[in-house]
Amino acid sequence: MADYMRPDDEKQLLQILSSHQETELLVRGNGLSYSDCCVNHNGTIIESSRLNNILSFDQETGIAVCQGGVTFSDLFLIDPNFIPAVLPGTLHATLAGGVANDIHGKNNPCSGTLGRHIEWLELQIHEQSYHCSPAENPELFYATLAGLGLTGIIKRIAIRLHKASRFVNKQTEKFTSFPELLDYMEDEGLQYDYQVAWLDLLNKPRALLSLGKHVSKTHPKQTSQFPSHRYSMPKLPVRLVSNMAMKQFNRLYYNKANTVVQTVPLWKFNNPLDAINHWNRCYGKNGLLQFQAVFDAENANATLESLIAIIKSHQATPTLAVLKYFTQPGTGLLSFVQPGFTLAIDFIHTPQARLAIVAMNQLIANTRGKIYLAKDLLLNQDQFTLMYPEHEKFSAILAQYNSPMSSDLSKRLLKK
Amino acid sequence: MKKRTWVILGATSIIAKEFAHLAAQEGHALLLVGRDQQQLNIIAADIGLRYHVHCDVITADFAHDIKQLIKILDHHKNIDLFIAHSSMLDNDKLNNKTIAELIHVNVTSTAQLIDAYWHKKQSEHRLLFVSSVAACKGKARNSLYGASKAAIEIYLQGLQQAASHKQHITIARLGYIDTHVTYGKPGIFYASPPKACAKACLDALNSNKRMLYHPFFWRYIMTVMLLLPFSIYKKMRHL
Repeated sequence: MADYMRPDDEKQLLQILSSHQETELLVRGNGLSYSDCCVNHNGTIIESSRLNNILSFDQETGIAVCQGGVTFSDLFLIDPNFIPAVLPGTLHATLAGGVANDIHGKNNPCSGTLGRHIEWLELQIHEQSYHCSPAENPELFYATLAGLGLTGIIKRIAIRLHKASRFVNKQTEKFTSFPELLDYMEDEGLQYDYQVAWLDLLNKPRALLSLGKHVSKTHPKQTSQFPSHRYSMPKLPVRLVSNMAMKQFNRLYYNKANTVVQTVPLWKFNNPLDAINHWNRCYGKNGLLQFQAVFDAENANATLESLIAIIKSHQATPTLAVLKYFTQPGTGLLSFVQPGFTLAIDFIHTPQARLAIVAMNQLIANTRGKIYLAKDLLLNQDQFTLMYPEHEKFSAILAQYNSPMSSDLSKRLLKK
Repeated sequence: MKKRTWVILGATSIIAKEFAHLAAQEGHALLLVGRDQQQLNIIAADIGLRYHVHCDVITADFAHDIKQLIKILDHHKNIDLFIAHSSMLDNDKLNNKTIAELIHVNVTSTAQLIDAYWHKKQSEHRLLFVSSVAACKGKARNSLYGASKAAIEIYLQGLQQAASHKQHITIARLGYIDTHVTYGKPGIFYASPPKACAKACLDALNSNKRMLYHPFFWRYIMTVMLLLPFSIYKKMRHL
């Protein structure tokens, strides 16, 4: 078990640091990552949920200064003309969590990763505070981007917001062949601001590609506000999703998909699951496992076919598969994003799924791809060092600054 | 609804902060009062940026003389008062100095502020006092704290009795709320989120309730406590 602390303000945070000098610490935002990067057995966890104040905003530059616990949805309150340039799959994630994973959105070819929009960070290591930016303490800055919270405590963040409307024109294209889908995403798809494909891996190959483009004209009957009423999934004694049910669901979902262009609020396009609290509970007590990898565009179809073959041979049940396209790499030492396709697959958590993911991880390691550390539970040290060539530099910086941070993931993957 | 200014006393406490957020969301201006200027400025900037309302800050120490604060408040028009400052001390920490301080913060300053506010010339008065279930019955752990809350409650009851239809006072008796006081402590069977607590306070104010319990079931717990024979109550001194 870990110890838990939850400071109400920055002063209390400093008090915790001075009274926990010899402890292994981990700051946790809203704990939404699927991996063990937000778990710290036998150490101390500092919850940052109450360090969530927006400190300033400059309309000229679009730069907002926030404490680490501010969420992406909070950033939408500041100014109706500005949005965060990069949005994660859930807007409930904290900004510091976004930085610590150098997150990507469905608009990588337009906006790159979150790190490109971070002006500076204030990083607390023991009792010392460091102002980090590409110009000042750059080695700490690039280690902290995608650094999984291991370099220190991300106290404050200056993020450059992006001038854009809160509505998108959403269009859906249907595909019955994966090679055609991949070609489309690499070519025509680039005309749109956002693109994301839903893949049916349970029936014959089928995909729905959602394309989004910002529109300034808003729909008269719609507001861009997040839903005030949110559904909540109760705790269930049984699992609702099963192989059979998902097969039928996928069939219906594909056939009923609306291919007419519609204007929808950005959150509805980007974060539809945010409208349901605790949606993960429909997976029952054992929850879900997620696999996310990035691989080269050149052999993408072959990789995709091999991954699907592994899933089939292990008899794992992929419930949700999502494909995105990257052209701009992340800039952090341990950034996941590199040019290519990224495939994320949710599995019902079964022993078969674990074995399938272990095999898929090895396949990705062999093809010079990467597994996303925010989602991973099963990578080993050898695979990690192969996928993240800057890992030695990263570990050297942790040692140089004597960082007190740790997590189950760091104990699993980083060499001492 | 008419837009007014909510004066929040003890604004750096998490319950007060959540209440300030809700009041700002309704479009009211805010005046945050507390000891820690730096933290007050952070909270005020955050509220201004989120809800686009006017949010000012006054630093005052309720353990000292508050004449200056009363003077400043006298200059503001149409204010409502949310009283959340308090000194929370267990009986085993009491000595001459801490007793004097607890009484000054929780009783003297609070009563002076309430009196000044109640006599302020404005068409409508609205006041919420953050009290505690500890004010219902003396508890071995913190009965002086409970007594100080009870003193203000009794004073407010008198004001409620004499109040006109444009003067409203709400007393909020709080049970366990998820704050730094309860976080990680044993024996806390349920701690309500501060946001839910603030919402309950606002709802009670909007429907002119004289008294609310939050979480609501503390009303029943305290009813039972008051009815318990003393011999049984005595056995519960370690709770």
